[in-house]
Amino acid sequence: MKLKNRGALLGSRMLDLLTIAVVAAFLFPYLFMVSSAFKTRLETFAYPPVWLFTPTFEHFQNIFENMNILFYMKNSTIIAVCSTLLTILIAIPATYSFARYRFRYKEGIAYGFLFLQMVPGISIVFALFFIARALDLFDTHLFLIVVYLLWNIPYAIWMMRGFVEGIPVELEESAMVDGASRFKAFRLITLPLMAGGVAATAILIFIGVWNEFSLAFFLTSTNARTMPTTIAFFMTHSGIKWGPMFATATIGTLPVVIFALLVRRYFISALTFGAVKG
Amino acid sequence: MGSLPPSPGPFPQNEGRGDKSASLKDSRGARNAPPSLWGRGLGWGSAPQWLVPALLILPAFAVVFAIAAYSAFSLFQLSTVDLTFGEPFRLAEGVGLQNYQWLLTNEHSTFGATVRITIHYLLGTLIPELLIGFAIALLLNRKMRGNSLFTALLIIPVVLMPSMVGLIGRLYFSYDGLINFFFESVTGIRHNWYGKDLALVAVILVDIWEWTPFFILILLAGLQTLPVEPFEAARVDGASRWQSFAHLTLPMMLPLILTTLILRFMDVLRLFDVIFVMFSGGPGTATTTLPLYVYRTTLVQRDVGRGSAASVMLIIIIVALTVILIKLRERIKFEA
Amino acid sequence: MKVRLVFIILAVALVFSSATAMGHDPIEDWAAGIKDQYGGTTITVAVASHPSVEAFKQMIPRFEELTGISVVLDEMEEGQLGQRMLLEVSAESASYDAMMTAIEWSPLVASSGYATPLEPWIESDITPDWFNYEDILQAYRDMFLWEDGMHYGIPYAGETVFMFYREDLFEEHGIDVPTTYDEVLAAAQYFSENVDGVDGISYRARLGWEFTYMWSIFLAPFGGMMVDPATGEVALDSPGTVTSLEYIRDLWQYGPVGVESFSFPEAWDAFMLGRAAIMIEASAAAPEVENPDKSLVAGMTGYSPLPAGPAGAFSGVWGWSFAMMDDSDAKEATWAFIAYLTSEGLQDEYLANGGIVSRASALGDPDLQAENPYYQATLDTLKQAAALGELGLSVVLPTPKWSQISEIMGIEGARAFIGEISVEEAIASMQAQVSEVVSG
Repeated sequence: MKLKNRGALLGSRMLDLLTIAVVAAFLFPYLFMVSSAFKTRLETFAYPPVWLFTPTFEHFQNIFENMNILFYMKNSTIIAVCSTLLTILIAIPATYSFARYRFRYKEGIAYGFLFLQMVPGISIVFALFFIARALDLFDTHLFLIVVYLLWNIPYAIWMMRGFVEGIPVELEESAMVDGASRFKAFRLITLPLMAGGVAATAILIFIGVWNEFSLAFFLTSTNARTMPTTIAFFMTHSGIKWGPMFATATIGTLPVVIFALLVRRYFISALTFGAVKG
Repeated sequence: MGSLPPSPGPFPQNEGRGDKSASLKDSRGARNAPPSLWGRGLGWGSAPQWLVPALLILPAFAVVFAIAAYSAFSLFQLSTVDLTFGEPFRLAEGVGLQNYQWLLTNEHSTFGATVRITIHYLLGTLIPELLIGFAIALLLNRKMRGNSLFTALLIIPVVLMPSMVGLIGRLYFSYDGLINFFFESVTGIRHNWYGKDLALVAVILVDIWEWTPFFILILLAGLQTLPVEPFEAARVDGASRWQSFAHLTLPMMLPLILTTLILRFMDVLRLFDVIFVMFSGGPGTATTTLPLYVYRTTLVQRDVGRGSAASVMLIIIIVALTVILIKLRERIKFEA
Repeated sequence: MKVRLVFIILAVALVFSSATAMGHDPIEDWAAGIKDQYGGTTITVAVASHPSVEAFKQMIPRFEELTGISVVLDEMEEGQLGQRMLLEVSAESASYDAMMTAIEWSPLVASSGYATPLEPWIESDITPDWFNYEDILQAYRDMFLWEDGMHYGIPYAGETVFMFYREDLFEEHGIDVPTTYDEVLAAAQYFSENVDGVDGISYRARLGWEFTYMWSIFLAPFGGMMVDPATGEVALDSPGTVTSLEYIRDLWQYGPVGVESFSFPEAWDAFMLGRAAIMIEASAAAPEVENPDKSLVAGMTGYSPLPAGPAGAFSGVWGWSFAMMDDSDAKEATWAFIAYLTSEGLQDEYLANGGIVSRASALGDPDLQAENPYYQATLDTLKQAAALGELGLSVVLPTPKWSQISEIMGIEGARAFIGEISVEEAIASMQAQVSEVVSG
């Protein structure tokens, strides 16, 4: 009996090691990339790769001083935060409606949302460009914020709907029996319970908007350009500027990574609901 | 989660089996079928029943359909004209369905080859991502110190900007790059990832690296909420680990797996940034997937008509395959 | 109080001294006049990520200070800039005052009326004496000449293709610098077979415009052509075209592994890291090759004009210019900006900042020639480009449809290059598709 336990313990240790190895394998390219942000150009190309080197900070200095990367981060942040908040605000009532009411064509409309979310951005960039010019909204934060809603709202509805459906309807009912209005029951009971799902949805949407390139490129110019379009600064006529590119990639991931670390438990448990039911 | 009173669990086995026909009609949340109380929820005695839900959906509907309807209409219109990108749009000439005909039948069209490559790419990314993702999710779904930290760190590849992922892939898969360094250390051979035989494999490997974490995160979350009781019962009955995995975990996870596949599958058919930056669709046409083909035809070769027609067909393919996946998902859900 | 007083005195002194300086410096004289009339204007300029733009960025603050004109740059990757331009032409409205245009786009911006002809501006009073338009190499100026006899761009970054070779390796192995393409093939074979870690020849062959760019300089030496100058018909199926495509495919086996996916940065890096003995590439690579921070072969590289094929030795010209948008409502200020940055008077500063040489005065300057070993090769190669022009041929067809043609050639050619289809099939396919584009 004891022996068997020891064997199980050993097996479990092995699996722990395997887990660590797998996670390390996934993180390795990223860590190597971060380390490359501190390498000189020739070190970047060295074969076999250089593992030990004197770090240089010139690339970070370069992107902050010459490439004005903070300006693009600011635009990205404004657009991603506003578009995400607006999405959630508009999607919550719709989600609630899909999850809690029964009406004709419900599934048809829900799938309609899903299918519209599939339209590739590049396919409709002309149409959007003309709308922007006609409304004099070209190169504004507002236009991008609104345009992203087209993809975000259906995504949010599908993610959050499953979550709301996972919350027992009896909880709301009992509140209403106690005399609460339907809205009050929603606000006091359902909304707090679905907060985790909302947060998870919001993070995924935020990442999507933060990384979107095609529309951001065609619909902005000097005023509202976002982070992903700064790739142009690294793919130049005199070659690829690896150092500054690695530095920007490092800086660009940090906010989301730190946020993910802070809310990791919340994020993961919440994600479950949306995905399972969505 | 733990604070919830008797958790219904997000899994379909909780849905009443006897209620199958009702569930089929209204696949989602039959369990939550509104009791009579809901009809007068807001106290609008005489308002028609559909009014409240309709009003709640209206803002989302208005925003999404207003943008999408115009865009979709304009896309279809462009697919029926002969127009060069870079000429004023008013010069467009209607040609009916000739663009579709050209793509599907012309001897110089590479559309067919593109569809084949896209299928390889789809299968090459989705299946390993699912299998590896599921395996890692199972590994992380054990009592182990640090697994929530690991899970949060695994989000990093998803957060990286796709165009930068493409550039990084281009560097790491070069002949003197990081990937070949590992191959040479282990097998003594370096491969030409830039060549026609391996370029598609290279972009698939990058996609696997970038998106497997997406499967890990969602599937792990799913595993964590599996009800405990059936597993304990199975253990009492003397079921082996493998048996409880095959007969309990897998069936319970299937709907979730299909949902995740649908989400990912739509992305794979929409995104091309990584491939574009890595190989531009080359060498030859080795990595030209459908969305990349649409991009090149419309914006580089400047044939708006054919590009839009390819785009419409891409959307039709996405919708058709998604419908199949959804149907499959619903069937599995009720058979489970 | 005292401190403030000192500051006031200093400030007065500064103003006074700069005022006296104005009397002597022609650039400041000119700028003062511009400031009177157009100061306070803001102009927006679309530019590509290009070393010339890096140089301009260091010059613009002084321009803004001297003229009171504010400049906003919108910097994009080259391909994206081209797409932005196409989108604006399609929409028939310009959101920029000026745009950096490549030779490939010039016919389009000229024929569509998106850009404005520059002759009236070159001759206007705004143009300073120290601009000296004629000093820009004619080969570069004429890249932006359209059928109506007007120029639609002021070039400042001319480019040609010549041969880079490792002087040390050629010397060590006693091989003469190739003067024919047969010798190039032989030398490439020799080095790839006999020197460890060194491949024969590096060049770009990624599908699309890059394949066309590289292939286009091999056409004429083998007697090939895109359009027959005598008839004006598409002639991609001429025998020489087939031979030239087969030739670059033969070179492939002596290139670095992965050439079939090389974009120009990979091609340059292979040479700069000492992994290739020869490189046939854009002259824009030369400053990089000579930069010891980026290159292991700085100071070890020789430059020569392109070798001869059976039909002669030819190269081509490419380049970048500033075009002014017809829709701009600040044309005077925009022209002042263009004339200032691309002038002979500012040339030294431009080159010192890493700008690309485009003027006869600089290329012919003995001091600069000694500093930049590739200046002589540039001049010699431009003669090869002129020879191409005398045949009525060019590496970029002067038509608004060029990018379509280039994409078709670049895809079909790249497919034949890796053996996805045969050379004959590729040629037949591009002949058919290009004919359709040209006639449509």
